[in-house]
Amino acid sequence: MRGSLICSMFSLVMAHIVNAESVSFLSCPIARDTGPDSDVCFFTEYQGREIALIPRTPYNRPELKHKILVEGELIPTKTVCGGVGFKGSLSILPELSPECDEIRPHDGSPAGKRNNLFHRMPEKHRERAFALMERAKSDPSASLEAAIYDPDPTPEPQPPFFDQHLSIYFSFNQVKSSGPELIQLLELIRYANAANETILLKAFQGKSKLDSGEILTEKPTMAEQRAQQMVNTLTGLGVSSERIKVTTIDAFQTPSGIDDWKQRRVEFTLSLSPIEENIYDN
Amino acid sequence: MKNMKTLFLKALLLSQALLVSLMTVADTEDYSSDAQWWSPGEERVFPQYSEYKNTSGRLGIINLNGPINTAEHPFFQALGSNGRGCVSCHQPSDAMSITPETALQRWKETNGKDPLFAAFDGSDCPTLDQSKPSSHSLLLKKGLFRIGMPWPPMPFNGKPVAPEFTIEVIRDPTGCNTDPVWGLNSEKPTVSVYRRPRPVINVDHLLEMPHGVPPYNKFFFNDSSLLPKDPETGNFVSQQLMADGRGLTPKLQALDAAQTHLELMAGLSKEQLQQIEAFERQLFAAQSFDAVAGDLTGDTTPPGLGPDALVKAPRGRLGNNPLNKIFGDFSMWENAVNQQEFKASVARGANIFKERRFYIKDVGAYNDKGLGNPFKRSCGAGCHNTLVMGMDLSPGFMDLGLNNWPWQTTRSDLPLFKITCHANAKPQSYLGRVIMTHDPGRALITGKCIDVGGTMTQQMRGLAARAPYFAGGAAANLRELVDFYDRRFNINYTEQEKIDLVNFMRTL
Repeated sequence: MRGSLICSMFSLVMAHIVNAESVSFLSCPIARDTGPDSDVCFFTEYQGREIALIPRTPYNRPELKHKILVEGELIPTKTVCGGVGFKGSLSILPELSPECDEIRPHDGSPAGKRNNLFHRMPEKHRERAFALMERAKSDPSASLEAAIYDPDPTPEPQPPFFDQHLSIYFSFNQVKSSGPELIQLLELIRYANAANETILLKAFQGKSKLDSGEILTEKPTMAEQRAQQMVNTLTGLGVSSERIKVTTIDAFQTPSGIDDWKQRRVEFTLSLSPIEENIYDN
Repeated sequence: MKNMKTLFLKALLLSQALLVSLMTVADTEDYSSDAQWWSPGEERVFPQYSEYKNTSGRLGIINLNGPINTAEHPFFQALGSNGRGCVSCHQPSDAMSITPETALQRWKETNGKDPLFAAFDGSDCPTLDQSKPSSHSLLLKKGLFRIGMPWPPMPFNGKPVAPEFTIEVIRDPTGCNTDPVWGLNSEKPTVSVYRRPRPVINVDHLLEMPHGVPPYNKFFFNDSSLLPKDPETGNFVSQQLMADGRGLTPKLQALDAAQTHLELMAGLSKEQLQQIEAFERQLFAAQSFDAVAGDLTGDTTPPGLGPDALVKAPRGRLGNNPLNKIFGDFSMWENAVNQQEFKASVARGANIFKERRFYIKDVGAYNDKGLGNPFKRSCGAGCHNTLVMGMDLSPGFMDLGLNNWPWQTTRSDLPLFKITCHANAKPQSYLGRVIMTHDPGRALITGKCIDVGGTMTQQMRGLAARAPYFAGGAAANLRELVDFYDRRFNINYTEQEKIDLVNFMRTL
């Protein structure tokens, strides 16, 4: 029984490895209309296939008039936006590419879903919103009551405290972070403040090897820019500069064409251990 | 204890709202131009509730904490060395902004001697012959005041910014940007742009930090940097007050206005600033009566209409959801027939505003903040999403196309600048590194190329009282405003849809 379970798990892992196809390329995004009551979705054409452009985090969607750097894995078992599923990083290149400007009209497939903010809310908030909607049928004034609330506060971190680690990833040549990652960072800061811990911050920049063999190199100041943006964030949120230790890694790792986007990151570590000078090689 | 306090505050608000609803307008029925105009320095009572006539009906203003004797209040006093007070450019009849019609009337009544026409910013340029109406053409025709922005940019914290671009004057119809004293190459380099005064109503809503959209109550959606903080309290600020975000708080805005528009170099005292902020936060205004629909208050009208809705509604909430529908439920007017057809049109307009999607495309500092280009949304679900107010809740500066070419090419009355971004700067997302603009907007604060033309979205209340619209007064009326969007975003509204949208907006 136990043996067959391990075999099954092994098969699943192997299937994933076999199915996973890494890609790294530059191309024009294409928008596809999904119907009158829904947003567009994005895909691109690469090596004769349509590949869905699914952002790693919300609100990092492709832009027409700009090329996009696509780095990640294809998921052939999944169809999104009429294309092969994709998981990884999307980077919008800042320079204009006027030729990237195609919107495919809605042809019935895929049919978009109407976006409803209530579906993204915690269950308790959603129940309250639906109750208000019910009330508004007989009492229109209920339509002005707050439906969207701040999230319920999470409990203050309590001892015993442990080491914590967080990595925030960036698009190519960008310092902007995603909303979900900033929320994680806010939680990390709360934890650090409660534990009175020092935050070790290590910023990186990267190179990306495309499938064509071409290598894209980030600006040589990106690690520093990322570190600075994060230090500004930490100090602006009340972390004293004495409790922040910064290391920037200007050296580029050799890109392999697989998961190169993970080089573009800032690592945060909360350590209960005493801090050693030059803990990281520079 | 906290619950008790909340209950008490709610009870207080309810009793005040009740008081307002019980008040008659009998004491405010004088709509003559004398009664409509408020001169700085005159002693009057600013009542708890007042109404002012406009072409669509009447605007109602609730002064929540009770009547004010204007002689004792810094908002109304003639504090400026030029004889102006805050009220000069924030007239109650114009939803606490000022319209060209009001300015023109004032010109006729005073032969151009009213402090409103102060040479410093009430004329196209101080060096022009101030006795001629043509020297004040932008104020008299578009309700625009000259805003002299320092170059290089100097934000309110006093730390100069190294701009990512150069700026060149291509066309200078007012003469001010090439003027040896006031221009870009003067001893004190200045970029003159021309903007409408923002309405000082519903400020309490503008100041509230956004709820329910974490982490954007702390971070800019655009670039994930931290929002600026109020230097007095250390709290984050909403950035909704001014077109370019330079006045972070009512007090800082008042200080800036005192030193520029009032030419009051000594500034304002702490007490005066507190009084001004308190007054601004207690004004709630909206259209209260429509010439066709009639009374816009009470139980038989959609709950989001009338000034009382602004008092009652929660602040800083996303309204683009199935319950709130931005301005609340209009269904009670959906099936109005015969002489009630106008009400049905308003209800249809509300629905189009909330539901009718189009491609929002190539909007600098908007599509590029992660939303995607294009982003297919309606007016309300896109940029005008705040409950009962209609501005963008996660504070958004954006280049809608009102300042920059190629979308805005008809403003021969405004200066034209050529912006050339440095090679190492991030370019403006959809215009690149060379941009022709009538107003660089937010970029005159941040010095960033991506911000060229960026302007903060505005609230949508009291619209009927304060045409023309947009920061540069580009739309003379609501129909031109709808036509601009239709053209800019290739929406293809039908004629009926345009009429419905106009009817809807005039009741706000």
